Amino acid sequence: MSVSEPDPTESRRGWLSHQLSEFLAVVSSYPNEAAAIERGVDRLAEAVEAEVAAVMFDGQLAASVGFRPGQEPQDELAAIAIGTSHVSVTGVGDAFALVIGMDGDEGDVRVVLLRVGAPFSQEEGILLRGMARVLVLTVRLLRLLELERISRRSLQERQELLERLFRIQRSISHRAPIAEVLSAITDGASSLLDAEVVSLRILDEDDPGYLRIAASVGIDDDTLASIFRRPIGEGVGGRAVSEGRLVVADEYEKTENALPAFVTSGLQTAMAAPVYRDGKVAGSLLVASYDRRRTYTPSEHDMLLAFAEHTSLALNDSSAIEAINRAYTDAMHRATHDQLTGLPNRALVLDRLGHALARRRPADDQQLCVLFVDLDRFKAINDSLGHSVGDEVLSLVANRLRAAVRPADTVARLSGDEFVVVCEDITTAEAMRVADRVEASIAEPISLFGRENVLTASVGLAMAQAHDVRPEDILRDADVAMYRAKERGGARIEVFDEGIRSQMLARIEMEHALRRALSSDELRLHYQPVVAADSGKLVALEALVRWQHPEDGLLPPDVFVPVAEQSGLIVPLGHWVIEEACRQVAAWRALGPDSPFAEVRVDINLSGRQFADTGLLATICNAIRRHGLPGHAVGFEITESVLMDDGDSTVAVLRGLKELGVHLAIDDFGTGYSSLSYLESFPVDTVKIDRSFVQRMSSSGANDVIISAVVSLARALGHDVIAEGVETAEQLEQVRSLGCQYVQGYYFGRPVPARDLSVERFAVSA
Amino acid sequence: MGVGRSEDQDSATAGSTATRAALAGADARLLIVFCSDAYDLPTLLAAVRAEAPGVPLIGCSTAGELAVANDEANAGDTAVVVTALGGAGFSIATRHAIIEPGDAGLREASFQAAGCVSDVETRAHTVVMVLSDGLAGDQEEIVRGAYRATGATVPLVGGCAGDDLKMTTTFQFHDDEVFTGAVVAATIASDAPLGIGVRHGWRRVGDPMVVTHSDGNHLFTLDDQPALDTYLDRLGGPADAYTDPAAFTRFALTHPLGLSRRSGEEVRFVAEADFDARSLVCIANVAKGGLAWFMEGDEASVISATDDACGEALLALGERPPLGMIAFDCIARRGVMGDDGIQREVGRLASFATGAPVAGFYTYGEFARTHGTTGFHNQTLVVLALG
Repeated sequence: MSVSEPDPTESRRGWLSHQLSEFLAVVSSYPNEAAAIERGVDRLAEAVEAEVAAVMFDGQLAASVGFRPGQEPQDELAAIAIGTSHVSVTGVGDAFALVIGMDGDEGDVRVVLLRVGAPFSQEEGILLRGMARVLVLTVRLLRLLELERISRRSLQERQELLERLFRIQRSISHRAPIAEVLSAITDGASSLLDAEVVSLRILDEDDPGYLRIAASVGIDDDTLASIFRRPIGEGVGGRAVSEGRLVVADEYEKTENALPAFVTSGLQTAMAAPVYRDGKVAGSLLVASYDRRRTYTPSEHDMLLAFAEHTSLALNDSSAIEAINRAYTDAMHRATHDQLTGLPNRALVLDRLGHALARRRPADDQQLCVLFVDLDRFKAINDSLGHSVGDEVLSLVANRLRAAVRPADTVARLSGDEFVVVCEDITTAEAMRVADRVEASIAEPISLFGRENVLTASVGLAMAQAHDVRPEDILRDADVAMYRAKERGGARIEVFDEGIRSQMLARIEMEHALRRALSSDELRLHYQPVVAADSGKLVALEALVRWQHPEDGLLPPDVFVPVAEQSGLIVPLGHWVIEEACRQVAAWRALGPDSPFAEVRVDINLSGRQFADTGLLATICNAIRRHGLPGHAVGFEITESVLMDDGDSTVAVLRGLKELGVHLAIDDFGTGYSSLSYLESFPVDTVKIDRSFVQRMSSSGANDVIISAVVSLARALGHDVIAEGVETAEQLEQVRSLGCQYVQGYYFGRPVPARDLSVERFAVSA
Repeated sequence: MGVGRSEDQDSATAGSTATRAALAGADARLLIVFCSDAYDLPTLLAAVRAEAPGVPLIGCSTAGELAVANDEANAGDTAVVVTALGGAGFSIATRHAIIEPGDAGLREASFQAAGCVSDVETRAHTVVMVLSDGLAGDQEEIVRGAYRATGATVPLVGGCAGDDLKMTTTFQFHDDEVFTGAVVAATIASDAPLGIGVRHGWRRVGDPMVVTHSDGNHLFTLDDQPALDTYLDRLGGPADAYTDPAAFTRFALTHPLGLSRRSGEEVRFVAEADFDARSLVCIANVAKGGLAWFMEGDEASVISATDDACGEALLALGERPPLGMIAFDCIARRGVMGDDGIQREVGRLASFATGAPVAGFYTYGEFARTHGTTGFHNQTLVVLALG
């Protein structure tokens, strides 16, 4: 749909949340507090085109931008922080000021912005308040990380908070339906603040003396009916509106103006923060608990305020309020069911899981079980036969799942081709039987366009653990087990156990460390020579990434590349490798025509995930251009599986690379599909025969036959052949006699840093 | 201020001829050299320095030079233009820094180079001029780093070095040295006023659109439609621009993107098309969620921007006639005007200078920060007028 006159409010909303999410990405990428604050103030000033931004902790200047180093007017800034809206400051002159104050573990935090020529708008105030809150939270989390020596729990919390806020900002900027945005906020607050009850109330358009519930978590229908519309000032949420501040109640029933329905249902503690619209209080966000021991720490106050500020951001659009009033009831139903299959959706299944967990009796051997079911290669059906066929398949699978489980079990669809089965009062053995029936029912042939097709599924099974209190925990466990089933080839059932859990935690930690490694220059490239089999002349150097870990020393890629692939960090990591390899090869080629490196090519490995990055080609193109390299100075190696996974778009990228004149090789040939026929359809120059064939050569004649066949076919198609893993003179002689033109392996040199490559070794003999 | 220009093909002769002409006025405090990278740069610099031993020097290679000196106005390629800044009313300090690899490299180098602002006594009017390697990465980081050094009171001007559109290697000069991947800066502190003018000369075409999907400088969709098709369809791009990268780049050079900003609009050069992803690759960040316009220009609009930029720069000088002007002019504007048009443009500059000399070059990106903290421009003319 083309929008000729975009609604400016809509676009501003997108712009605001984009600024917030970009800001979050920037400040959370720094591993230490000083750098995060310094970059943070840069972005605060840029966001509103202000000349000055400053952050003060307890009246002390922590960071500022807009003054020369050492010339920051500390005292003047401290005075502004206490409050005046039009000021004159040394080094700036007359300016408008905006001050944002926050109380927390850090004491009194104040953010000051100064702008010459134009006062700050309400909308800018909302944006800056959100940014300031994100900055303070990031600082706090960084401090926590230091204090707790990067304990796993705080790591996960930080990760989760950032992910939640990201998700909310993304749904706002993608202009998701308002109900979806609000439920992302209430779900996020519920899960991060361990709150069984969350409610978002906003002013009734028809009668501003009242508040209506716009979104909620954990409130049963009866209670909901009685508190749905209440006068301002009633309850903790109502007081947050009438008093315009954060209200905390440690003993709910004794608190002023408590809601009788909440007292009856046994609510023990609650806190609520005001949300704003057009600069005025427009409602409140409340979190509450049935646990008498629950208390709220200052850092949790801040977390709630962060969620409330994100709510303000979502409401800062006139159409949002109308949409809420118009559609809340419908949305309630729609929000809990999947449109296509009619199955409960993620929200509802989480809710049911929550109730099931609450009903558990500890000594019972009848347990709670979750099956996570994901169809194998469903994307291929969708892509090749179209979405309507895909939808038909999903409906059919939904019916089969319903028939395969026990009558009391819940079948839900999470998203795409992901289904979940919740079984209560079940033993492990019974759960396995249900899982088997699920596998079998999906494997029944399906007729599509008159052809019989067989679908399979990867199933993860998790039994509730004693320490599982949140529905997300057990769902995540089943998801992880399903992922394991996928990794092992799909069409199988995997049961979650402690081993999988600790691997998962290690992976999260590794991911965080890798993020830091990327920003603090801990990655290195080592180079391994590829030489001509007959002359020994150096033709290329394969660039292999290493991680110089500050504590664990030099790590090989198999330790961290899989984590990078799963987390998407492979894209920035790959960018770095491309840039560094191009820089290095340019340096070598600049050594002059007498150097053995003058004509050398650098080969870079590309993974499948990098091909999914639409900017890959531009990245490569820019790197090559920037370093003034001819295309043939650079090569890329791709494994067979990459070629097979996503044929069309991969071919397009490969063609683009060929147009740049770069060299392309298929890596590890023989370990994947090993289909020789597809070699023809890809624009590659070289095939690299996997080391395992070379190393088994002397012991098995069969390997010689394979190598010989690969060589003759590759050469018939005009490709060169490199034999990898050559370690002895005997192996060299053998692969040469089988027709391999190029060789690589320890016999010619291990991968080493560029500076350790010996020039003499590769000197061309006269 | 004096300006000298030479087209001599011999590097040493060109350097000394241009410098001698520039030095005709008062004692020089700073030399600024803009020249083609076709010269042997160390030889040229040595010849320049031999004419004015010990005078600090900054400069860079270009994508074309322009000069108004001795009643002659010239714009074109493969020349050297030397500016000598002198007289009692000026204090000068210069620095350079190499851009180290890594995220903070550009910012840190720019912070170090612009740190020359602290090396001079403050006078009533101060500006920092920065010349950077435009092929070295995100130039917004150059402005961030420089702003950290200068603070709000000192404005920033300058440009990205060029290489006659080869887009491979650019050079920066400081005193006797020639660098690649560096930032050089000069602080010019003056008793008399300094004026800065910034204009682009492009006009909006059609309705505004929302940037619905972008990632860094990669623009995927506008109003949820593929950006490349929307761009070519709405602007009526030539048929070969739909498939041929070179044809596309020719077209894109004169059809930038305008982004909505609180204080107006910012122009983004569309560098290339991704024909597979149907997307556009721009020279700097394109923020998601913002409003954008397609833009076009012709000689008339570009020249009228020249007038406006000069007018804005001269406004700050009040009644006082300019001592001289320095222009940082985008290579894309040159693309619109053509070889004849740039002669007319330099003629306009000469008429605003009213007899005073003008020096400038065609850049790969321009710097001008006078308010706020940002100030990296594309396809724009930045004029510094010295009073």
